[in-house]
Amino acid sequence: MRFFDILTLAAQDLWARKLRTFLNLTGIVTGCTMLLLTALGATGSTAVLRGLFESAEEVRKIWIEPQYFYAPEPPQDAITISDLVEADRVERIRSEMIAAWKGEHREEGLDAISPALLAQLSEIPRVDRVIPDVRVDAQLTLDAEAASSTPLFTHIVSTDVHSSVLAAQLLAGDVLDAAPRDEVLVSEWLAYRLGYLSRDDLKRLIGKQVTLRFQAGGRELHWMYQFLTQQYGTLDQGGLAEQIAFASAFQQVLADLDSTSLSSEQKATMRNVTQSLMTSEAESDDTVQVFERSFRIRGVIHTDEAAASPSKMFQTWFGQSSGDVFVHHALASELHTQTSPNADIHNATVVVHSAGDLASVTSAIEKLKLQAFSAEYLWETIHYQIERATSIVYGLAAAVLLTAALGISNTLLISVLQRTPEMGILKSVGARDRDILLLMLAEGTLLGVIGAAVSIGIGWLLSWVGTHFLSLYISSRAGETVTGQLFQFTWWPVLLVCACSIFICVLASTIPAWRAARIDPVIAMRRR
Amino acid sequence: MTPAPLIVADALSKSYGQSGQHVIRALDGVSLSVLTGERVAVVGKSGSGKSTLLNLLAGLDRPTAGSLKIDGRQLDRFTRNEMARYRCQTVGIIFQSFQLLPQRTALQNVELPLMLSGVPSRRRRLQALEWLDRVGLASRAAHLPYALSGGEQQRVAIARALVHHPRLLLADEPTGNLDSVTADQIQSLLLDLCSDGSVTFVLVTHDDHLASRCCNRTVAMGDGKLMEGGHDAIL
Repeated sequence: MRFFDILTLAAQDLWARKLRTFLNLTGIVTGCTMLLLTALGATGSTAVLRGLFESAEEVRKIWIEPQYFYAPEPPQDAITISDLVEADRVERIRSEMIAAWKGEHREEGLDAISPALLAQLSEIPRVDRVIPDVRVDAQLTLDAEAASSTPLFTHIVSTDVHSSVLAAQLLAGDVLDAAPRDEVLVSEWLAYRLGYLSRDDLKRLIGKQVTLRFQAGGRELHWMYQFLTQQYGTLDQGGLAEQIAFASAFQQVLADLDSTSLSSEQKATMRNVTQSLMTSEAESDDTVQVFERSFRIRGVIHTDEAAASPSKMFQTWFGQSSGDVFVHHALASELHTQTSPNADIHNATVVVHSAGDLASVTSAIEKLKLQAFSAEYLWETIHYQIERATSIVYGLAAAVLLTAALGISNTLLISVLQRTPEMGILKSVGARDRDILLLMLAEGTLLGVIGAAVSIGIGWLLSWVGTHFLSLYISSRAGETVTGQLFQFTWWPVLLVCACSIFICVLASTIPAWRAARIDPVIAMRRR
Repeated sequence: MTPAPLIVADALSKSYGQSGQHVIRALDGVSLSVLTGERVAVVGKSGSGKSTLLNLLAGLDRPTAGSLKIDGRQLDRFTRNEMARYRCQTVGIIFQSFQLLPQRTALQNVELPLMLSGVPSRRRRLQALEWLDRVGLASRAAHLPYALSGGEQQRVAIARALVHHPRLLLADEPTGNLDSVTADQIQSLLLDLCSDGSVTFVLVTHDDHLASRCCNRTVAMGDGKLMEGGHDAIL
């Protein structure tokens, strides 16, 4: 029998038994559509989320600080585990072994980030810019009201003038220029404290001159004060007294160091630190140098970076920035150098070109004995969750397909039993076993092809509806604008569905087909 | 010149049931020779074994003993595929209950043997239409079997049995399910189609009138054996 005739006969049989065909198709279409939507959703949502992630400027930032203690990676022979340890325990033991080795080989790392190190950071491939995190304290006076107002204690912080988020934080005026000038942005809180309350007041503040009064020298307890102000923000006199009392107690502990249970190495380290502090204090001349500098207010901003971020989904990565006066980071570095004993800083932000560069740049930063914190883990978590959810839905789709396969096999088997006399007639007029086998398999294949085609059609429709519905939902609930396709219609899910549908149907037809092929024509015809 | 025998059955037996259990010997040592172009009627009562003999001749069943040669070929040694090819190319079978495929039209039913032989669709359609025309059913070609009368269904079955020009036409009680008028029409049709000697005709029936009208030789069967003394002694 010709191949085309087999297909024609199979198609005629399917058409002649419409209800059975419909029921079989229902099962296969349900499973395949689920499978298709899962694949399309997994591909699309991953791409969309990746797009949202990469478009969020915050996630391109890497927060860095010195690695105070550093341990190199252990050599392979140092972490070799005995063969007697079972395979499922090896990784746990290895992890403990690495930690122990690193503890034993710990070296002193960095205690600050020098300008030279900042320059090295800028040279790392795929780094767009490096913003030193500089904080300088000053007393601010609005020139126009200098005579009548009390100077305000303010924190001056360095600002990334290229940040798009900064523009979104703007309430009045304009952002800073790319080149450093004697211009500042002030926070709306500072403006409020200055008596500029309404939006119109904020506009009036633009262009006004402020004088910042800086204090240099007087290094007694300087580092502690600096540390504490970094930790707690503003620190009043009472708070400072408390911390000084704590420092005194600390010094007493140092005096009794020999009676503690610390190791000799730890004792030596503490003495070195103490000595350094004492020397610093001893060398300080306690001479306070005061200098002033005038700036023009260029704009007023709010400090809620998260709210200003275009990416609501990743807005929590960088929280609010604390500060009253925001200056170009180059200017901030200059002020820091003038007010501190050296130009070293403790934190910086590295901005990379794209979120895809986070891993490589983080690795390069860590090689410089710096600690790097980026949003990369956020993406890894999201990706892991998508993959996990996808695999669960794939499992459900597979279960539906398996159920459909059993259903198809069952109905085809019943169909074979019902059609036994017909098989006998076909054999009586010359059909071979192979013809009957192929005929039944062709029915299964056609079911699979039709099932795949219908599934693709329904899947396309549902994915179109799903994309629009979910985009609207995400826009309204999460505030994100989804630009990509949440259900991405690509060729591989379509091929997957075609292959699954046809494979399942052919598989389900195999036993009924084999049974039909072996029917004895005389017995078959007697059943009529 | 005497034509060569088309069918040579030698001590043909067919039993049903496994040894040790109750075994039914449906056919018991039947020896029969049918010449090419001959029209032979096998008559006998119900259960005499005539339908079993026809099934063996049609290649629908295999003998349990003896040998069966069709056109010089040992039919009982055929593989399943060879048997199918034999049914497809050499034999045409007419059943008492027509055995038409219910989901296919008269034309499609007639086309079946040609389709199974791999004849291209256009050619087989023309041939099938020609045969439907010969049996007087050209106008009913598109009808499904349920829409046809018993006589019409049997005509379709006759057309299907002959459309591929078989060398051997086998009929098993072809008028058994028909009223007398229709049966007479079918008899006339069979006689008309088989009288030119192009096809060897073996008719299984218990209808003496049909046997004598359509065939030029009659053999009688009883208890699975060919009976001596002609059919009159049997019927």
